[in-house]
Amino acid sequence: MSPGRGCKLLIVDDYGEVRSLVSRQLQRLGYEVAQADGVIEAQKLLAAGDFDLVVTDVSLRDGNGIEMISAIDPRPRAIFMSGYMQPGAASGINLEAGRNFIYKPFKIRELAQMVNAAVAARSDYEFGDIS
Amino acid sequence: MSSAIYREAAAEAGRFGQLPGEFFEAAPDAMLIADDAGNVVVANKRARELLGCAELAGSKIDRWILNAAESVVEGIGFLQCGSTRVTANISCTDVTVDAAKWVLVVVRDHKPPVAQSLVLSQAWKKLAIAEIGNALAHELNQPLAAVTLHCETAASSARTSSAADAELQAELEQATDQAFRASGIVSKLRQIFGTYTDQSDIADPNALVHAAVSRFVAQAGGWPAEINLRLAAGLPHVEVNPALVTHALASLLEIAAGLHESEAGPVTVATVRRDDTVLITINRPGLWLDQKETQFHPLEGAKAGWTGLEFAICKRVITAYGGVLETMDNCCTGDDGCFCVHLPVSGEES
Repeated sequence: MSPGRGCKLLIVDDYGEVRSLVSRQLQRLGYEVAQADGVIEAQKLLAAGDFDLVVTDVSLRDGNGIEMISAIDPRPRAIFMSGYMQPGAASGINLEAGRNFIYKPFKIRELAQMVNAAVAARSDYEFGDIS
Repeated sequence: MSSAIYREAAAEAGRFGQLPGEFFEAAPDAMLIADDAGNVVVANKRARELLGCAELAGSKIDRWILNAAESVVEGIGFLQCGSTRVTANISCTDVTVDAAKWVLVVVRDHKPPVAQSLVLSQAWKKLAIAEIGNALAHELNQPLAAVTLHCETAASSARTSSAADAELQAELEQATDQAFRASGIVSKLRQIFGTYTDQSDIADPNALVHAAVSRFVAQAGGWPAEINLRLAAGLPHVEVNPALVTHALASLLEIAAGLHESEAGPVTVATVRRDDTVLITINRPGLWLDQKETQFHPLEGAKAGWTGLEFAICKRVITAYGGVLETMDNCCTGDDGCFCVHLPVSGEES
């Protein structure tokens, strides 16, 4: 069985090249992938559908990915990508490198491992909340 | 003056808090008397003149001691004079009168109060450069991330015996494109930081436009679009960092020339005086700018890969020198949208 198991992901990044590359590779792993180029588009998609996990850049053209996730109730599971931010608490979310936070540039296999771990996590482990 | 004279002057000044003695008031040195907590009790005429403060009694002096020799210590004093904070080189002598401890402060010289607006203006300019650098560094990371992913995908394809050469080649070509994009951003970093100085200069706005056009044409390797110049004569000079503002204007030209895919329609650059500013407009027929998009993001028809970063940098540069960059749907020249750069006049006429 492929790791994706038909789970639904939302990839949010305003840099199209990275967004499409990540989406393509995760699709190959069996995930169903939707894309958004910013906060506004992501919010529309999240309101319209259920996603097992959101993979989002932190610094987006029209907002902040962490604040976007933090403002949603109930808060979706999310992995955050950033080229400059340090892990730690931000907007009520505890960022941990290797768990829900990954530095750019990264290898897709590293992200894939985090995605696989996230979607396999049990419901009683709230992904992305302050522990 | 020796420490003994200081003590005599302080004693002669009376029972501190009362009217100062004639010797103290008329002494050629600028002198203050403060209590042990640094509260100024009395200051003589010379001190009031030197510090430019009519009334110093009640002010607080903070002392930063640098050198102590015998009973006289030297240091730097910080004194609040009304809304102005003054720094001064000082000498201090502890004086005890009737078991009460006082400090006699002789002000050696002082630095004139720096206008807060000047300090803020300089800090704002420095901050602008830091923000631009940060934004470019962040932007640089994007194509580098893409290169990493492409190369990893290419390597994975190469390991797979069934991978088509075409797929591998496509990944490598895209990685190369992204690497070139990254090097372009590095080039922008060099342009900005290589010519950056902390100094402003008086500049002819028309000369700035000419320099920007020359840079734009040179970077484009020719004339990518027809450029019309409608430059007003007799414009006053503006006070800016010419290198940075030229860079910003050239970037706006690049955006205007590239945003509209049609080959028709020249880019028009115009200058005109508007009250206490000089207005520089950059317009091209068909240039659509959504005024609601105050973050200057590209709309439909934008050149692929343009992220709006250049526009944000342009705005940051221009506002750092007291200017305004705005977009207008109906340009003053009458042709659709334009970029409007307002630069404050320096006060000198060209």
